[in-house]
Amino acid sequence: MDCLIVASTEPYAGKTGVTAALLLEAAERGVVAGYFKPFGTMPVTAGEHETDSDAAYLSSLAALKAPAHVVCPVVRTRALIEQVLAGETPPVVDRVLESYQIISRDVQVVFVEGPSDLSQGAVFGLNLQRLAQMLCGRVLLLHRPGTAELPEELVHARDVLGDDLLGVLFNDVSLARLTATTTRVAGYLDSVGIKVFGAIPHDAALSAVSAAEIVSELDGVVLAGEAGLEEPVESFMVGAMGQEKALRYFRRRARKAVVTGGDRSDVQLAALETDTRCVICTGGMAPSSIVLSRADELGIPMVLVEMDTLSAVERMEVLFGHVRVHDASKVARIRELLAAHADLDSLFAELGD
Amino acid sequence: MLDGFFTPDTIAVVGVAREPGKVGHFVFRNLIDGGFPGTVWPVNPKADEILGYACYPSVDALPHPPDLVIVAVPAPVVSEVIRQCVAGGVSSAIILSAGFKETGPVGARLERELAQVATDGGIRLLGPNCLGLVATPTRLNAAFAGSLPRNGGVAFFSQSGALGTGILDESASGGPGIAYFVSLGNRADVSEHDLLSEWEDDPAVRVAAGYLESIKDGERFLAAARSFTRKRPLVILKAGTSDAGARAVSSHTGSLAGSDVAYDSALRDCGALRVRTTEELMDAALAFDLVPIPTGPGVALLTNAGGLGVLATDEAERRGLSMASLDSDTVAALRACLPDAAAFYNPVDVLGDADPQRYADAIRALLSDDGVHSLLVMLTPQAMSRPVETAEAIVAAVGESEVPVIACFAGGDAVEPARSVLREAGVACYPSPERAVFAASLVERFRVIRSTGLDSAEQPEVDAASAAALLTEAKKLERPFVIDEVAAEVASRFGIPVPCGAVAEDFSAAKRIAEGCGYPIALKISSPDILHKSDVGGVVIGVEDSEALRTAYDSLLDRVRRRAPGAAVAGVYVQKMASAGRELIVGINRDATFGPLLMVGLGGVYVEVLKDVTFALCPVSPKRAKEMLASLTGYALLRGVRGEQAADLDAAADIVSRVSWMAALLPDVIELDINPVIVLDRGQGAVAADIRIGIGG
Repeated sequence: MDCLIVASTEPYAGKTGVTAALLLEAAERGVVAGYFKPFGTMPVTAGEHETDSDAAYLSSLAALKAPAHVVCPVVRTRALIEQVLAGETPPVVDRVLESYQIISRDVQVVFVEGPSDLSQGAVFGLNLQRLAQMLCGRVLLLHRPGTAELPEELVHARDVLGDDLLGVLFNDVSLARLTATTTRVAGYLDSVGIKVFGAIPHDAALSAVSAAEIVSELDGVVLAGEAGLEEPVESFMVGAMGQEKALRYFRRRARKAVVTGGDRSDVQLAALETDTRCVICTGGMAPSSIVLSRADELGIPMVLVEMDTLSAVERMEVLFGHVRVHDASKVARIRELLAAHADLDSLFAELGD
Repeated sequence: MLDGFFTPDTIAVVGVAREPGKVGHFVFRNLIDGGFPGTVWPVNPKADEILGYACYPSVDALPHPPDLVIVAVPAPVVSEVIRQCVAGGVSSAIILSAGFKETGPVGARLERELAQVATDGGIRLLGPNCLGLVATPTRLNAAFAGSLPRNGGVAFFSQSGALGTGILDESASGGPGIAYFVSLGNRADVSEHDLLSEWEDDPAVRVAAGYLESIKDGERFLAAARSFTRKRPLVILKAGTSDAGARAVSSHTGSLAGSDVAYDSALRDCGALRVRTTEELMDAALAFDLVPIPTGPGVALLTNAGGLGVLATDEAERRGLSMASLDSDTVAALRACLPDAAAFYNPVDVLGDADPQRYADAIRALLSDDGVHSLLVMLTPQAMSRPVETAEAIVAAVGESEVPVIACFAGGDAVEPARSVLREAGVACYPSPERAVFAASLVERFRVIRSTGLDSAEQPEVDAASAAALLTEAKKLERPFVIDEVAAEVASRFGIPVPCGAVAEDFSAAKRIAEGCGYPIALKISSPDILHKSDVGGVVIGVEDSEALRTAYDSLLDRVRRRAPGAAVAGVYVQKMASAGRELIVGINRDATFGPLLMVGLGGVYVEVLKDVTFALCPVSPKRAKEMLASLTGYALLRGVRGEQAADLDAAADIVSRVSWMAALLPDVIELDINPVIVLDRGQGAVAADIRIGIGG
């Protein structure tokens, strides 16, 4: 049995998506795989137990036999945080080990969705370094290169993890930096003994949310264009200018939501004229009937929300900044990207050792 | 063909209520009262007879299919009525009923269904949600407005039904005579371009005039308008020009009001005349209805009041009219018939005591002058004036002359009977010199449009396919703007001269490029994430040698790293500096209705402070590009002032024309700015120094 810990250098680096894709890939390659998430940060209730929402989703996606609270035995609930701050020591390590025993039975490999960075879990004695040692696992480190000119975090991770660092997978790499990442940076890492399994380019569809999710997040009411509620929305723009400028501005972004006042029929129409997936009308002011007609004709949801534009924007920023991959089509897209941009054969060959 | 709407023999009105006050009843009565000579049938399943006419229960129960069906039933049943019309072979229907897209998504679905039924069945629809139409040549009053207007040569179309009622009423009270009036409503099918195509060869139409808040299909409108204005004048009042007005248009018609400069350019480019107020619309309609198009530019003014003459002269000059220089024979003839104190040159003043004969003599003298191509005859009611007799004398003196004559009888009750005399005789008369001159200026503008023709641009030799491929590649980066070096490459594929340059990934490459192109050079950061390079210190100009290059290169990258830490940097664009010259700005923006819109102006301070720019639809020929340059306030700077050499206008116009072709042939170009185009002295060319291409998300 082998253990691969998928960890990252920062939160929201794509661990859940990549782990899900690897699980499905393993199944396709005939590898019997298990999934384990020792420490969850997004509590949800599954039956009588609390577990992590990503873990619950992956359990259902890969049709795992183990119950969700075994797949993710420890969740950072409010109660757990208070316990720690009160000086108590919850039996986290024991629970993790117990569950891992169950998960790792009768499988060839366990994919462990690990911590978001090198320090997460430290208060429980379960940081990435300790986790790798405890589970005898090797770490696949996901890293979003961002704009750093030197890959210092990765070299630091190698210093900390030593041989437990199996290698690195760059994720969400801007197209402008993709070549530099796969040539210069990967070359350098190779020269210092860090294996690079690939560099996954940024893919707007993965950071998209549906119009329906926006409606739910903003407690909105759909006034027209219901047909487009499931279309992916990749970003949002705010419309507060005259129609001419709005048109020019809105054309700069495709597959977007537009947030504007309910009384701004000119801005709403300019949005509908460009590649827009959803129009959020703020301030509880319903748009004019004829604009609703146009939106309905185009199948673009017009959503009425009570909050003002600023509040709506704040909520949207949170929504877009924390996109989760609880969507089979997104996982399928990650698999496509991995197949095209990562050396999965090498990775699975390592697991077979 | 829209014959069924304008020349029907049989008409059925579906939804004629028994009681007056309902739309269907009102229209049916208008048809009868208007004296429509054909057959009219009321359709109402609950009535046997309405206004003395036998009622039919449905369209399929009519004795034979009518040529035109007017529908005034509730929106949800309109489609069914149209299905019956289709089954019966009816070719045209006017849908007066409201309750369609103007009421929201449910109504919009009804309208889509209705349009589909019409398309599938091959029936043409006017409306829905319209006031109907009027055709005076066939005495057809199929509108729920007032009585049939005065017969004339004006074909009106209006996106506002209510404004139309005002137009019809004004016509009936001495305004322009109407050939046709069409209320467009929601334009589910018939729209403005259909009407223009229908009317362009109609002998009853002397001018088309329209009130529009938006244009349904820019391309088809332009084609129809270009064709129409080759034969007849087209006057457009476009509303929604302010930000607040544009919002009002959006919520009224559900269409974008569109950019005002785009409408200005589009209307000018298709030969239409744009007016700004309803008064101007009516004045223009009256002028083109009654005044023949002059054969030349010379305007003569005749007045009985010096003040009126001066005001009219000022206005004529302001509107670009050319004051005729009178022939010596004309002056002699005027001297022979006018008192010594009169003014014998243009404007001719016949003095306050002028009687009808003096007017008549002076008019005859002026009309016989070959340099007088149109004449404005003005009068104020002074103590010795006899307005009515003067009006009669004017009518007689004008006689069969082909020179256009426009009258201005300024005043109130004292001149109103005289105006009636002129109107009845078919002489356009206005109450103020400014309005009369405005009318004369429109007629003159149409003469120029017809004599010079519209611009037709021939595509120059360009490599559009490879330029398009570069943009397709650039779009993969998902950034709204193309990086500089790609923009320059795209431009050069269109034959636009750009400075020598390339992107350097490191200093040694920068040095190599600089030496290849030659110093002095400019350095610009190359990053798809940095839109405003100067704001982050990403531009250094005037680098003279390799030593300066080292310092400039390092400091530029350091500054950008500090000020734009999140930006992905591909390298530094090393570009040869263009020689000094006069600077132009050339830009493209895409209008929602008319597509790419070209802007040309003088660069630098002239565009930023003075907004000295002009616009046109794309593409433009080099000839039109030169006209655009010539229309700039600062054109003299390009021609050369104080002994300075003229700029290379041919090279500048060639770049402008090629940029317009870029926009026309590359749909991925959403916006574009070349600032500056550096224009060298005549014969030395021009170069696009800094190009920014927006490709959208």
